[in-house]
Amino acid sequence: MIDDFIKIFGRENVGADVKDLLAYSFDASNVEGTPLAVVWPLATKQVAEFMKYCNKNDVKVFPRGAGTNLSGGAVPFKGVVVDFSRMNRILDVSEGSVVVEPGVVLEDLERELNQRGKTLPVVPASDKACTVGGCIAEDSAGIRAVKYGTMKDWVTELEVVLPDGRILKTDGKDFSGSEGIIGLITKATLRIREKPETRSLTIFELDSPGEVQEKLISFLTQGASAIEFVSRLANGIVKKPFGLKNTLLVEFEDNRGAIKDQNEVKRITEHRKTISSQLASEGFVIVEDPKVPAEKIAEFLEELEKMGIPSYGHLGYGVVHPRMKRNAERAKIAGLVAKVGANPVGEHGIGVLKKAVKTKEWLLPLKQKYDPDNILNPGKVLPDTHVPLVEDIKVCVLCGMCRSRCPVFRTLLTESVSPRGLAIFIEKKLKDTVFWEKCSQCRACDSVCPMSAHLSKKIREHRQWLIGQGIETDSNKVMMDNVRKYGNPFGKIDETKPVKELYCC
Amino acid sequence: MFKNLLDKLKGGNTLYYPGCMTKFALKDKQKQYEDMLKKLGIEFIKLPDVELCCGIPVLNAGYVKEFEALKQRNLKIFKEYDVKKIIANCPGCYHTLKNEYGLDAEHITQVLAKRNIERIIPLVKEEVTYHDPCHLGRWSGIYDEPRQVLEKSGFAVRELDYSRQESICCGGGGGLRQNDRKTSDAVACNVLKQVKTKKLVTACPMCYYHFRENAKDVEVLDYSDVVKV
Repeated sequence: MIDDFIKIFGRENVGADVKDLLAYSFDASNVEGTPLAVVWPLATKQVAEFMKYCNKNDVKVFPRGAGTNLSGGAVPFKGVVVDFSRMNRILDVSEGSVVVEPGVVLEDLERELNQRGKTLPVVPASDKACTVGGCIAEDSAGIRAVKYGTMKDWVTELEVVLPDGRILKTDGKDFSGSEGIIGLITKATLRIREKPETRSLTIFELDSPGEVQEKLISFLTQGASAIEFVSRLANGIVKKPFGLKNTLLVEFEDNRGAIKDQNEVKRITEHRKTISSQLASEGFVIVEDPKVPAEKIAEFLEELEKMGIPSYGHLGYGVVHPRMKRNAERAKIAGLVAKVGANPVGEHGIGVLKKAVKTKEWLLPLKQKYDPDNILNPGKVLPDTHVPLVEDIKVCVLCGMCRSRCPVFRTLLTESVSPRGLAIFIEKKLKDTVFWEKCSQCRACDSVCPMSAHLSKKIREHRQWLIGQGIETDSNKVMMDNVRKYGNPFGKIDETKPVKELYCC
Repeated sequence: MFKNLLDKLKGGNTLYYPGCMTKFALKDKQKQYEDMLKKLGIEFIKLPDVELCCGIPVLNAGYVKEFEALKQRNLKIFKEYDVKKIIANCPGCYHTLKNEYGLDAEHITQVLAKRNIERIIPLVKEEVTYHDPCHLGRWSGIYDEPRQVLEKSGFAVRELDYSRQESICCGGGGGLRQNDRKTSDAVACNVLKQVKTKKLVTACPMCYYHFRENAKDVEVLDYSDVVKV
């Protein structure tokens, strides 16, 4: 099988060693999978050839963008991962649309569009790392969904490889939000719009959930571009709260808000995004995403308060994110969601974690139509198999934000060299020289880590542990011989010749 | 000048610490930094035969005991030479001496930022891109001083797509270059793609050396090449 994949993708775009299999056994949820191999396509025709092979040989296929999925949608179960990270070109930008490959990172796309005065106003919290293909497959929402809807509202055309290898051009309706179970998105045409000239904000400090609901409803018809919420309990837990009460942030794309300074508006918006990470760093690592009707918000928030569960969310779009410490607490939210008639899956997708509480009925006939043999992403969305959950990942929460800044990942575009990949290896006590060969100790991962997991330090500590286990690289041995003999890593220098190797930092 | 006098009265020497990379691989830059300090009127000493590695490559590689041994040897030498203050041009050495040793250390860009080095600014400033070295930026929080000095020296500082805290590593440090040269070079090329000016300046000997080796269309310059006092 691996040899056949190498024929299709080339040796450097097929991975099946222990590091690949470990690194691709997780996404940002706490679901653990079992990949058989990983492939990194560079072109649609490779994907088509690959799918023909897999369909013929009953090989299960698991598509993956950045693996920032919070419901286990990108985790493989005894199959081959198709990582689209290397199909990451922006193919065309015109006045009203952009054509991209699926692996383009949302933040990179937005930077490119902003330089031309344009924007794609879908802003999930994981925008630094998540990919366009993943956002389409999950129909991502985010902070501006109240005004601009979700990803499906911006898709005008998709190129999709079907499970039998056919290439389909479509308007995208069947595939937006299909969570990778009926086709592989290989190209997307998206609408874009003018970037707003200004934004303004008003911050409301509100005593009760009732006041939150009242204020929310009053702004829903006023064209706000974001209505964001932080609960009183969340403000009480995080180190940098907005205040002592419930906070409602209302953003406009004009001057109606009280705060008009653009830097301040940006700072506050970014600060709001940190609430999730601040809660996570206090141990509240489990997150849910119910979409609650506006008229039920007060009741929902009151019940959360009684249960002592902090929350925040995109209230304008109805999404509340309760944060918990343990998986077992998810059941409390499920009961409350049913009580108020909320949708248990607001924006994170069904994946494997929500299969018991939600089904996308509209996908059932499409699955029958496009993937009757269940080749694509089996075990997801539709109710069937049991999936193993990992209760406690100690090294990091595997959110994948570190991918956005790690110089080695950005260059090689494989999870097995990302800080998240190395975190998994540390967790599994992997004895391998990869820790020296794929980390420059630059601390870029630390600068974006929402958990403040200090992965660079943990990697350095793992290096120390490996040395204790008798594992060293040849180059490090030379360096240390020199240090022990001469007090410096370069050794005895012949000033007439250039140095053989550099040792610094 | 008055400050120099005060420092003298307090006693103790100011040590210029070039670090292994500059001393062994970039001797010309070492001389440029020494000349720069002299022109600034800073009296400094060097440790010609006894200077040891600060230990950062050893520590980053995970050899903690060996790092501690180097640190103790260095502290002993610094005491023998009555070192009260250290000026380093290598961000890795600077960070280590200041934060791992707890000494009074300054990076050369901090020293320059405090001095009056303003020159006649040309009508059209030459554009240079500044790269934030990891150990100076993210590790030490020094972002503004290097830019201020370049601006005062008559350059228009341009930014990489990812700069300051978001700066992308050159790929040379942390043992990456010595342990996986191919990946390390590819990382450097990835950063160099972001450069939109003809010249790239950095304030780290490793970044300088590593970028210079990988650059095709960009002239890579060390801080001492462009800042004249």
